Amino acid sequence: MLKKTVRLFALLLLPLLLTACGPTAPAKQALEVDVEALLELMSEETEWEDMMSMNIKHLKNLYGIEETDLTSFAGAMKTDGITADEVLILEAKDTETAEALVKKLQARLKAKSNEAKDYLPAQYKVIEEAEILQKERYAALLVSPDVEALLELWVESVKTE
Amino acid sequence: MLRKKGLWLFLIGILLLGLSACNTPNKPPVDDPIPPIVDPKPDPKPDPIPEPVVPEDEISEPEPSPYDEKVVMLAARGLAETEPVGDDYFDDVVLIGDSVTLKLYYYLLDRWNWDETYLSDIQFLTAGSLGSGNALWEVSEESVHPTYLGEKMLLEDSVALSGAKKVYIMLGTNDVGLYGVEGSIENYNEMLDRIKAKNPDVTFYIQSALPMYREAQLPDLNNETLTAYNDKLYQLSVERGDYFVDVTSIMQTEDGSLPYQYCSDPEGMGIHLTDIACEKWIGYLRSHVAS
Repeated sequence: MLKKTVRLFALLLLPLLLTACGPTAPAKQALEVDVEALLELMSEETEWEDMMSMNIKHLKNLYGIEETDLTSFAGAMKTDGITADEVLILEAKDTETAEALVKKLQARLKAKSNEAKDYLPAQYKVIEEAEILQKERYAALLVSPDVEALLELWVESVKTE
Repeated sequence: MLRKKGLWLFLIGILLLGLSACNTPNKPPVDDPIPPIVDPKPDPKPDPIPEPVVPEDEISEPEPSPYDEKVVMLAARGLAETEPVGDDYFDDVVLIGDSVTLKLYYYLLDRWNWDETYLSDIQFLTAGSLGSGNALWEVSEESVHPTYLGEKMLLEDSVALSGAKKVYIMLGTNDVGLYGVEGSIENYNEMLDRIKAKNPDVTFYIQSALPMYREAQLPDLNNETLTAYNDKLYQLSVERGDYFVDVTSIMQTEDGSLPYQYCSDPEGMGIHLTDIACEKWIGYLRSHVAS
């Protein structure tokens, strides 16, 4: 009788241990992107010039984005007032916040579009082809004549297994 | 008996093995877990007392170009020259404008990256295409009202939220061609009334509209129509009792064109400014204030 109980105990316990600790069921890894490195990569890839680095004051004034919503960010934009180029990559504190930040990126893009529509046709085209992206807690705005190249870099960076 | 004991020992062994495996943190291996040895550094010397920073508006030193043009200083209407004011004067200033003022805003955004305190509390309500005409429209998906902290709204509302008491405005380039001089001034007056109704304690500083580069002039929007517009705008400021800030008086050549070296798009629209022009503009605002 005792032998039987011991065998049963062993049968129940072993699978439990193997499931909890075994290498066959790893926990899903959260996406990790170095946003500054990604922006640097984008900068090198498209060889942009005279782009101003964005700081948190810029984000608040231009997008209404608060520092408390972010873990990190990296951005650059043209400041001549007539070129639309603007790239911003955000790491929000969580996915829900990232989704809310996308709306702010959309509002900024729409404002840029309305402003350029009637008098800067070439820039308007760049704005119309811009991308707003989000994956997990990351979001990005890509306004650039080289948007396809930037998009490829984004896709590569947020690729998960 | 011996077999039973052996079975128990086997089970306990497995349990201990399992538990010890679970205690191992599930982290990737660290390449170099031993912290590097750092040589102790000598105590740093105490920081010297920093020199007081005097705001300097003109920092650009553009390469002289054979295309540079002579700037003619005209007698300014409105506010006369005063002693330059410091940065704190601009703490309650908001500038309203179109893409011309947007460039001034971006110039400061850029400057704040390395000169954080320079005019640091000045605020902007700018949008490319903004005019006194479309500022009167309802806010909509397609309207071009400036955003305040990312949100599009009527000027009277954004001025209220900004808390600014001195409201500087430069508009006209997006109005004169569409509404003519008279229509533009009527819209301007209406826009001021609406802002004032919601913000009774603000003071308006109406800036003259800057000229265009001569090659970029259009049939309905050119330096002649802009001069006529500025004349009417000055009259309006006098009638209303608002201040007039004649920035144009330092921004034109003998023939009334925006000087080449002040224009960032001489082969385009011919209305946008270079950094050096922005610096001249700020210098003018500093030295033409109400007593």
